[in-house]
Amino acid sequence: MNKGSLLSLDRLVVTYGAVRAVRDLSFAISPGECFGLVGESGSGKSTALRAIAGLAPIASGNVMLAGQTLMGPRDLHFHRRVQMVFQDPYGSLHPRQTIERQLMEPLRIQRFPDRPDRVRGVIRRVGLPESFLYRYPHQLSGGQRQRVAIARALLMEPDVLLLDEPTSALDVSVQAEILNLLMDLREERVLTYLLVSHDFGVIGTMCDRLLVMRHGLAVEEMSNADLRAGRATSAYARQLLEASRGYHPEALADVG
Amino acid sequence: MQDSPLVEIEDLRVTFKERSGSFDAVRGVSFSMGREKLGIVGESGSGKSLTGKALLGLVPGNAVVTAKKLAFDGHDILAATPREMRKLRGRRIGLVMQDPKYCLNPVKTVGYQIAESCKLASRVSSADAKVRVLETLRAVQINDPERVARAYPHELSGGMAQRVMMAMMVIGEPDLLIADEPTSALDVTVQLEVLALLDRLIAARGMGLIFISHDLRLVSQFCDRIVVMYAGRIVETLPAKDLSQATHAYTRGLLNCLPSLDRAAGTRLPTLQREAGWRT
Ligand SMILES: Nc1ncnc2c1ncn2[C@@H]1O[C@H](COP(=O)(O)OP(=O)(O)OP(=O)(O)O)[C@@H](O)[C@H]1O
Ligand SMILES: Nc1ncnc2c1ncn2[C@@H]1O[C@H](COP(=O)(O)OP(=O)(O)OP(=O)(O)O)[C@@H](O)[C@H]1O
Ligand SMILES: [Mg+2]
Ligand SMILES: [Mg+2]
Repeated sequence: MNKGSLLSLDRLVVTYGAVRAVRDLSFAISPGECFGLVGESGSGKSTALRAIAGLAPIASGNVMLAGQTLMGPRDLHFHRRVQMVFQDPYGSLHPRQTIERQLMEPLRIQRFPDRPDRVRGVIRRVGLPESFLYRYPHQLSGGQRQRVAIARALLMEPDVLLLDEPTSALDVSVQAEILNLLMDLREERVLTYLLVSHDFGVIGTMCDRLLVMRHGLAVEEMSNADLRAGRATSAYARQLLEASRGYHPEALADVG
Repeated sequence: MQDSPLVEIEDLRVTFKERSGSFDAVRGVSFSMGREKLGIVGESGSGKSLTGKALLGLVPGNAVVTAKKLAFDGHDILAATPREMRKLRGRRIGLVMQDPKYCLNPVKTVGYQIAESCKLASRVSSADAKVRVLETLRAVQINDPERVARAYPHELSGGMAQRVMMAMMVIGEPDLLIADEPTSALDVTVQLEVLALLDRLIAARGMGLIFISHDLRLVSQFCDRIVVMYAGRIVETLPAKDLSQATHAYTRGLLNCLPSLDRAAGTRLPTLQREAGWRT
């Protein structure tokens, strides 16, 4: 399909029994691009990311990475190139392993050298003290756990990062530091992001393009400039942009 | 009802004993509130969730909680027996946890769990509870409540799990709801509807709300009063509508970090220069 794209979905359908989580989704992301997914809660954003990572049952359609269709369980090489930060950091961390052990393990599997140095380096880059390496997930605050999940994905030095609401549990000052880190990494080397967020400020800061989703379908694709100018053509995207102005009675009247 | 405030906290401290010494996660928090909407914002790790949990007696076992006063509607939380606490938790105080998926029981359906919390709060038949469950799911903007009621927690999206947890807590119509990041996984339109639901409960039932959130603008528009926390302490309390005129350097720095569409795309965001003096 799209020759120049690094990661693409072609008419992806994901079903769980009678539930059609993703109904027909296509997009193509170029190398070095940051592509945003926004949309209704339950519209299939996380499912799309999970399908790319080989964690959702694909009923039909394709996931392509660097021109190759991905099939079956993802291998070591895939995990080296593509890392995911899950929406629910608690669920993605092992409850009975220290943070250090959980960060060391993937490095060992991928045969990275200098493992302790890398682990200490990455934990500092996400703004946590080294002493937290010896804690268990339940001994951290929500935002601290989220940063551990980000650190674990960054450790692999991947080409593609699938980021599912990566800063939703962070206060805006730590969020700014993490977003800056992601922007810096993108400048240091070609890094491609697929970013899910409900926050248009975050999307507008990070993304070149975005896709608005609802009911498992793509509603509208917008450029960053479209977002800033409020240029949405579909009724749903316009409603979302309107609601993003905040909590006030008029916004509610529109939604209702 | 007017004589004693709904919540009174004086000099609350939560300390973890660790091998390397002890760590004070909450270091002398005091506030009291009535039947109002109190927002808590602040640094990740500043003790917001622990403050909420302390009010319900749910602080982890390796922590020591002390306070000159920790009271809910005149009940001394620190002196309450486990039985009294269970009663308060089931009927009068609700807590929407920050990690809803983790807090729900993985092997019970969502509908069963919400119905249980309904039955705990008031005497209702199973059939009535079932009806109430579907109503409440619809009220939190779940489009297909029958399907979701039959689902297990792992079958929910992040935002659906958040709303299920909310439904479980509001179905008992508590006097105090502590909501820890209850809308962080919701898209903006659903978020507005859920907030409107909370507003209705507050108006109809006189519920008090502690709303912990990182969304500064939302808190300033939705709440009555805001408490700002940093490193285990409250650094500033102010009327919500005056957030933009905050005086503490931490709060001002925080406001400055908001990603906004007014700033050019792809440019680094301003960050906070944390000052040692804020950690009093
Ligand atoms: N394992 C599963 N079994 C059954 N249904 C599922 C499963 N995983 C997801 N779903 C359903 O698929 C739909 C899409 O879920 P998904 O998590 O992709 O939404 P989302 O867009 O990420 O929403 P949110 O913004 O709330 O996180 C939902 O209706 C959800 O209930
Ligand atoms: N069981 C525990 N053992 C040791 N330290 C803990 C434990 N639980 C929490 N802490 C620490 O207590 C501090 C306050 O935690 P709390 O969860 O209240 O933060 P928070 O303000 O809710 O942060 P966030 O916004 O990231 O959720 C954090 O630094 C955390 O690491
Ligand atoms: Mg999701
Ligand atoms: Mg917290």
